[in-house]
Amino acid sequence: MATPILDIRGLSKTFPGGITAVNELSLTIEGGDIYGFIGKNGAGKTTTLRAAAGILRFDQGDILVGGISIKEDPVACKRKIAYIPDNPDLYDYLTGAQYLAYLADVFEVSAADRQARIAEYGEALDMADRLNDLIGSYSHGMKQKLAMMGGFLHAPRLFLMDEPFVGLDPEAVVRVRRIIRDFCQGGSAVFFSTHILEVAEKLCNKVAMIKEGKLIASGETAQVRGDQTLEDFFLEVMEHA
Amino acid sequence: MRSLRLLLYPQRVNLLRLNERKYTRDTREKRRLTWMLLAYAMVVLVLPMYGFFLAQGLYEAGAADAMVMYACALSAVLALVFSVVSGYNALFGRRDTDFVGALPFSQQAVALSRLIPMYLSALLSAALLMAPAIVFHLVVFGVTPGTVAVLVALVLLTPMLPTALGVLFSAAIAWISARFRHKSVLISVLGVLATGALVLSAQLLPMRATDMAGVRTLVEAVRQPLQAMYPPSAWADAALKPGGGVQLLWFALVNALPLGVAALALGRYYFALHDRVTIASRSKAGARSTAAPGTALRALVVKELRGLVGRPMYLMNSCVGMWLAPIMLFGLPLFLPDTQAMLAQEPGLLLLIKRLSPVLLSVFLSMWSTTAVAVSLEGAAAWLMCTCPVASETIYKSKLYAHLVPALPAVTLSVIAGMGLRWDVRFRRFTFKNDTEMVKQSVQVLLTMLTGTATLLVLGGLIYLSGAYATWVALGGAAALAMLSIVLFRPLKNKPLYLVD
Repeated sequence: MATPILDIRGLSKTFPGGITAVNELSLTIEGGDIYGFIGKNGAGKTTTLRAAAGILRFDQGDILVGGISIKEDPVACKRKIAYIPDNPDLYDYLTGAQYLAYLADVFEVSAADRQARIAEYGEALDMADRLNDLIGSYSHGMKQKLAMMGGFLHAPRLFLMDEPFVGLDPEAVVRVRRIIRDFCQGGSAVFFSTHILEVAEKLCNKVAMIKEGKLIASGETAQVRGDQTLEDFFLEVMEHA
Repeated sequence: MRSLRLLLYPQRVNLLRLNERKYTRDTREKRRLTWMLLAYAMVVLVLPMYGFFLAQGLYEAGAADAMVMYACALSAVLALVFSVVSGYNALFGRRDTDFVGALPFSQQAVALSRLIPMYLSALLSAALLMAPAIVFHLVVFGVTPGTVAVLVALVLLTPMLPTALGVLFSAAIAWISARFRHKSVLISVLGVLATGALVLSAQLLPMRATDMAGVRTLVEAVRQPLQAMYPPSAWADAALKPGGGVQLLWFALVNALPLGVAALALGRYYFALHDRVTIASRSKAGARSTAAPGTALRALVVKELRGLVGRPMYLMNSCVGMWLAPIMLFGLPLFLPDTQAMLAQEPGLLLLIKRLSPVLLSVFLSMWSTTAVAVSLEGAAAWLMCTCPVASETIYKSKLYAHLVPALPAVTLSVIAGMGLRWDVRFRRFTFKNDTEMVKQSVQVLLTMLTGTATLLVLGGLIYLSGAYATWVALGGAAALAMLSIVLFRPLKNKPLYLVD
């Protein structure tokens, strides 16, 4: 059996003041998965994603990225990951091109690859013409698209996205969905949180639902929702779980 | 090294906001950034000028041997201020922590990339302040390789202890900021106390040193307590004398060791510390009941006042001087023995002060106005004002009243408030990055200060020249100013507010 790209084992995180954001959460993501993470505000989605990205320390459990513990070798894990937060605070004083060049340097992307990928994703996300402008002049959606381009630049094995569709125009949503599908067909995986159940239902082959820090449902999207729509299933489990 | 170089790139590339200036397509913004470059250059000039006056004063007072020691102590204080400010921003206040944290860099590299700019900014401030004292020292005592090496070592080492302390203080500030609901009030109170202490010491010291002999006595009197409070200054002093090697070693140890410890600790615990100090427990208390219903104007004034108290930078720059300056101007000097003796000798002087005191007070008050950026400070939340069903006039009034509350109602102040409002409506800008940029670097604040001061200086001049008719001129002036405040305010009534050009 192939090593999972992301293996979250019994993750728990309690913030100062005793509020438990995530409680013994376990989840496995395989290569090729498009995994949607669904829950209400404050359910623990962002905490889980931040812990998986190696940003947030956790109290219990472990997170393995490609079989490597993020606790033991965070740098090796981060080389395989790309992460974009829900509100991408990029460097407003850099141009889009400078930002991408910076990330390409950080991840040691070769000159040929960076050129090809910037051209490819710039075209796919309709950003090619704006890369020489300051990021400070971008709209929220454009910043989101630039952050995504930066994530795809080093061809990560796992792309963690926190609410990636917020602020995107309908055309961009379609484009991003297409890019994510192509990306995961190459054997990589995307794990993203979302409130848009329709997107999750159409895009994700797997979904997980979280409530008050606990995983209440996970698995193949079709199996999880059964004969209901994902929306109906979500409302039902949120009420009764 | 590669990690560090990359991590420092975003900070390096936009040094003095040059990258923004180069790539912005907004010509107004480009012009503004060019002016800011000039402002930076002036700040850079102020420090060596201050250092020069200090060194020259000590030299002329025959205290040349104390030049480096005093420059060193002052540089340490300045470096501490720079370190706390830059440390809070670099270590705990930056929005890119999640972004950088997810990149494949070691925690040590991330921590160092935050610590190095802190040290460099402290080093720059210390070097600029110490440079004139060093030049004077070399001119007076001669240039030898040993002396130059010691002086260079002193410059490089002096900011290290302040940088390490800056890490501690900024962590404490971040910790308090995340937990204390009224942190802004606390910062404002501390700011007032610090400013008061500074002004008080500035008022007290020169009174006892009216000539060079006095300065010499003062230098000697302050030397011991200073060296007791900040022992490295004594070691810096001794390091420049023959056989001062051990003292230099102590100086190096006391400065470098804490910074080394801070670097190691941050390298190991930076992210944990960041989370610990910046993530506070969420309040479990429910929402409190709202106050009794009031008018829209009252609600707006309360909002303005809360905004004033909630932004220490705004409060300190636009209001605190209103209370502090008159106290320092009239209160303290009048009670100092030297001033009292001088007033006893010249009774006419006291009469003149009494006659001009309302104007002098107004001149001081005219240097500050909350209205000078009150419109712009709505910033990204300006849409709220745009959409609320209140006439622009009511919004303008709320900003005027909010200015008059802390300043005490006075006709002259309403003129200043009117001027500030007019300038801010004319030059309003909602795209600032933080309060400091608006409060400290906006043209409307400068114009309000200049026009307010000029207006009241003219009135003061007229009162001064009018001799026996001074009272009538003062009353007439007040009436004229009242008319002027109406003239300033009336055209605003129908001017739509918060429409972005």
